[in-house]
Amino acid sequence: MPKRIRYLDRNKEPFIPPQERKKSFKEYALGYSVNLAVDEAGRCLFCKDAEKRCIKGCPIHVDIPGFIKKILEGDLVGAYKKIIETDIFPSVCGRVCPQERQCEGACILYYDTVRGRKNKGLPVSIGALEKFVGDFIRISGIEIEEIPEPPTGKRVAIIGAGPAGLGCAYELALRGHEVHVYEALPKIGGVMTYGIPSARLSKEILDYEYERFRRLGVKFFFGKVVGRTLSLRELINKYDAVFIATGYGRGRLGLKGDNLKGVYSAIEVLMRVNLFGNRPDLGEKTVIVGGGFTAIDAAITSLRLGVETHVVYRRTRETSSARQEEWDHIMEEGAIVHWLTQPVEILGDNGRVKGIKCIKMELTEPDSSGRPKPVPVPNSEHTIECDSVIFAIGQDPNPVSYEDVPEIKRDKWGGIIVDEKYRTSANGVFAGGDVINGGDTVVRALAQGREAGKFIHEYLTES
Amino acid sequence: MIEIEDILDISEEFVFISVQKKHTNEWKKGQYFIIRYGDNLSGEVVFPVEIRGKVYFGICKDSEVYKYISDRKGFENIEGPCGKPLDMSRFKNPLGVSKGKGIFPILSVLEDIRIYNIGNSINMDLIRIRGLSDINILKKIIEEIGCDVILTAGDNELSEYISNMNLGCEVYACVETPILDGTGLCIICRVYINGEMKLNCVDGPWFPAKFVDWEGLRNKEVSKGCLKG
Repeated sequence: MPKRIRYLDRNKEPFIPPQERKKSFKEYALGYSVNLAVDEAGRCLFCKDAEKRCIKGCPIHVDIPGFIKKILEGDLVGAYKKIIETDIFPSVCGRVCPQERQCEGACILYYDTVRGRKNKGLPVSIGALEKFVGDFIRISGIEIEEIPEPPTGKRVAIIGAGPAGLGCAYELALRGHEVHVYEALPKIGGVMTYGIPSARLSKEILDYEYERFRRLGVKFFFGKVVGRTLSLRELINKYDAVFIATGYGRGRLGLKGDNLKGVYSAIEVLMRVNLFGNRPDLGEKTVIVGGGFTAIDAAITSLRLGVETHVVYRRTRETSSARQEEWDHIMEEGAIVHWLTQPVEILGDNGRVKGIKCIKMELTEPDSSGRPKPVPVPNSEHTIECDSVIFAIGQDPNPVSYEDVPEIKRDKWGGIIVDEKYRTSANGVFAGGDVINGGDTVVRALAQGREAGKFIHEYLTES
Repeated sequence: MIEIEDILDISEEFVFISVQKKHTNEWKKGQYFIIRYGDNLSGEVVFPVEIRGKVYFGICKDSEVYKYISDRKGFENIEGPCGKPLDMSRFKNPLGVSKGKGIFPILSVLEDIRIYNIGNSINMDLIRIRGLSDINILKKIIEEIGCDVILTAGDNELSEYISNMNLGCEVYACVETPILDGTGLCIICRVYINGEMKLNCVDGPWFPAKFVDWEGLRNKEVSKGCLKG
């Protein structure tokens, strides 16, 4: 009997109600129960050509039908093992990936990527299933054996313990190399720790992942600022290979009035709350400038600090890089989003922010990014009164770690140029993640880190 | 936990501590470290000072970090060296003027006998820093002993004041701002130098005082839990 296709009965992940959840930084997406997960897994059609569909849509190419099948069989350890063949952080990626534009956007129930046409259903909730598997293993305390190959005697230094650095560390440690990770901040995770609020990604998850790395024999050196505490040149001399994964870590502003009291970068707000547990003075009303993940994370944070939260974005919801459901979540919690609105100047009184002058925008022909170009609407200037302004408009590369090695070629923005094997122009030095691509998702950085690890292994075993 | 190796009690207000960590020996004049302590990894900016061939960090006895390390004889982590080194090679006759714990960044760069501290003197075998009861005496001191650069630290108001005194020499200030990560990520420590945005944590903490936007710095928020560089 042919399988009944369940186009529309997608199981919704339970959430804490908006008015309740905005009172604390507790994770608000509660995750599937075993029953819900098994039922949702039952919606998968196990497409024979999945590698052209959901697997292709996943930047790290998880065997999605493979792990979903294991859930249906009740083999959650098997499901976990299947996922970590490629994605070492199921609990993280299940939470923070924009699945609607990746795996779920390529689920046949929703979109037929082979024929290039929309289908009538809702995609399988792949992200929630991945999160369920990762959480089940972590919470149940099952220890999955990840046994490294015999020691090769080769040593690799990794600069940065964010997603790319960790992806690379994992790959190399599994292959028997001695891996030392140098991290400027006091914890692993990079953006996953200092950037994403615990309301979206519980910090317990990263503590758990840290133990996995320690069991694999990876050594971490926290508080080591390469380029300051020790030089890249020293690392090059001391190790058989070096992988630079420092991210895109230098904040930027750039608007008249940005030196007023009450102007923040989103990273400052997120870092103070997430990493150091202190509270910035946002006043009663804040305006967040930007429309990406960081703007959403800043909004989640300011709402939980009890601040009236406005977001101004010069494009539309459809053209934003943030997840659609995340926009829904912050608006449910009370954030007011001003689409097609561009800030022009921050207004102050006695050195303190009192408002932000904006102009309305309209979309015209696509620009070089392929997205419709926003242009100002004449005579549409207006002011939003506020006590603080938070900039979430991207960052510049932070060349501190590699500026003392001039043979490493950089692009015009200061990021590192690599070839198809993640090799920089300096022998034995590789790079990956945001430092080479100018800022992307956690999963892409993770994928690049693992892939770079394979090429570093190739380099180490050939030489 | 990083254990305290040695404590030197230098005055009613200050102590020096040392730890056995190799990277704390690898600093250049003008740079700083961040001590992280407690569950929330609160931070304290500290400056390295070489005494009898060993690196020490000066901290205030009334600070939270001192209370923490007194109880536990250690702390979680020490990051650095951070910031840009201060090139003093073109100066022959420098002078330091400090206030409060500002003696430490200056001691990190200059010999103690060239330092004047607003308020009390410190006079013991280890260091000898002269007290300065009135900042306006500075002009007279410079006339007597000569000076081609003044380093100021410990208080932005003091640095601004000295910069405006027209003492006939360059003035470099160790700028005070909150500092969080020390790597240029969060830009809480932004300061405008000659109209250009710089980050105190990576481009500083030493800047030519006449180019610093002191008014902008007065507007900076320094809430509880922030580090002061």
